[in-house]
Amino acid sequence: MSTATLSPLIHLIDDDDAVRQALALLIGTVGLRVRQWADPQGFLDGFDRQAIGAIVLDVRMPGISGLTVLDTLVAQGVDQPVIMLTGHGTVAMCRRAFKSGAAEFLEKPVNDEQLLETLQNAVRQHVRSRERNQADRQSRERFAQLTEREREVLGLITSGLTNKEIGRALDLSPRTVETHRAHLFAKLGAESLAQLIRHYAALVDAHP
Amino acid sequence: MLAHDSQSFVLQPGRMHEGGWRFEFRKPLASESQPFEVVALRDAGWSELPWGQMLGWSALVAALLTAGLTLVRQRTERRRAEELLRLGQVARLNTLGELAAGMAHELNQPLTALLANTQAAARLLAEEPPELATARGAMAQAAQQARRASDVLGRLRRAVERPDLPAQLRPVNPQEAVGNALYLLEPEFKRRGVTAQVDSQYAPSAVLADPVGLEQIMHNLLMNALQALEQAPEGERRIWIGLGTADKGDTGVIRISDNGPGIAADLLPRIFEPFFTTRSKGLGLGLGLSLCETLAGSMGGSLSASHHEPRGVTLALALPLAKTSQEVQP
Repeated sequence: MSTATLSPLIHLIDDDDAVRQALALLIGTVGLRVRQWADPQGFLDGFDRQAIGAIVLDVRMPGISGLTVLDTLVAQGVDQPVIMLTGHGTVAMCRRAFKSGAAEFLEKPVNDEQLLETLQNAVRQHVRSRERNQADRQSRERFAQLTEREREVLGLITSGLTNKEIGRALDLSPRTVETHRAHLFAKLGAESLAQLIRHYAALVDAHP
Repeated sequence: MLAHDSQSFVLQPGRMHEGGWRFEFRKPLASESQPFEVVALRDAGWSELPWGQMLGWSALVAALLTAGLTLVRQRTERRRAEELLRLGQVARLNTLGELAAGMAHELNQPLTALLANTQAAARLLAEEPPELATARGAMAQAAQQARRASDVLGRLRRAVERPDLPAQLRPVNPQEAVGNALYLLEPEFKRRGVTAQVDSQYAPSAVLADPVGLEQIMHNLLMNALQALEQAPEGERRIWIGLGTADKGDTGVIRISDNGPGIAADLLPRIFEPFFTTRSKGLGLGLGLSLCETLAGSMGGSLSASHHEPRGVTLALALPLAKTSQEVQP
């Protein structure tokens, strides 16, 4: 959770020094941290993949084009939203960028409100997706601690069966079912049946 | 003469000649009681024909015909000349179109920086308390970017100045001309991943040329090389620009070589022909090199093509060197 508490980090990749510095200054005025990269390869090799934030990528760059960088980021499973910047965006280029997984496609010269709003949305979106992933991971770890029998009981609970019905189905006494139920609620950190179903129904389906 | 059947009365005698033309006129008199025919005979001898007038008329008709034909031929020629001029303009427009595309990017960059700087400054000034120092820095940056945009426009203006004025030959530093052309095409080089290498170790200090014409030739030759390199594998696309002298130091030479696919030996001599192109249909008019050669010729220079080892094409522009006396002129 430590990465989320830091202020979000925007990676800005543009080979034009004047453009990059000006955009960095503008982004900085709303309290976002900016890391500037003049060289796309340097960015790919060295940027912090764990940080919360977004990536602003110029399409037209020497060496590797912005679209190639986007493809590489997507292939590497980078989850930061990518905002593409271009001087003259054709419909084809725009479609290609969105298909490749760009979060947004902006034309230069870009208006401050549009850029900053896009960035703030992207950061919010990234924070949400990280939280969701974190919750998923936690759920998986807790689920892994359950015994075979507890998983069976959990499966039947999420299917909507009562303790009595579960006891009959598994040939257990309702008391034993009650014990399993208490254990798995504790192990999974669930406080209510609704919460249990919301977080674990999908996992139960995935591990029958 | 009045005639009836075989009888005839001569009313007014005239001379009759042997040879020449005989003109004859007959008319029956409209009278029932006297069915006479009036016959007029006139023999004209060779000597009596109006030779002078006939010759005069013939000459006049011939003169008129000649004048008419000349007029038609002149009009055709004028139309052809106009057509050539128009084609020249098309070629120029093409070059300008390419120039403008590069220029659009060159202008957009400073404009992006300018907008971002001024908007950042406005935000910094709106803060409580305002961040004066940073805002001032942003405004200084904005001013610099406005100058950058203005420089780009200045270059464009110089590039499109009227080319049809007689070539203004003056000493031009070939390194500067090459540098300007490379600057204009920098985005093209970047976009296509082509590296340019300039060898100016033996560069002459000044050649005699029309600066705009020279820039146009450089632009065209570099564009051609860039287009040839589209067929070369990425990462290996290179353009060499060599500056030197030839003819025992009387001529300055600018060589532009690429390592593209090159041109077959039998086609090489034809590349300066108008409408000859090695590019696919619809991609090139085949006027660029022809235009360049004409421009080079108008400056007292020449353009030649050769094979570049191990592959590719070298185009060499030879221009007279500027004399020392001309070099001191501004």
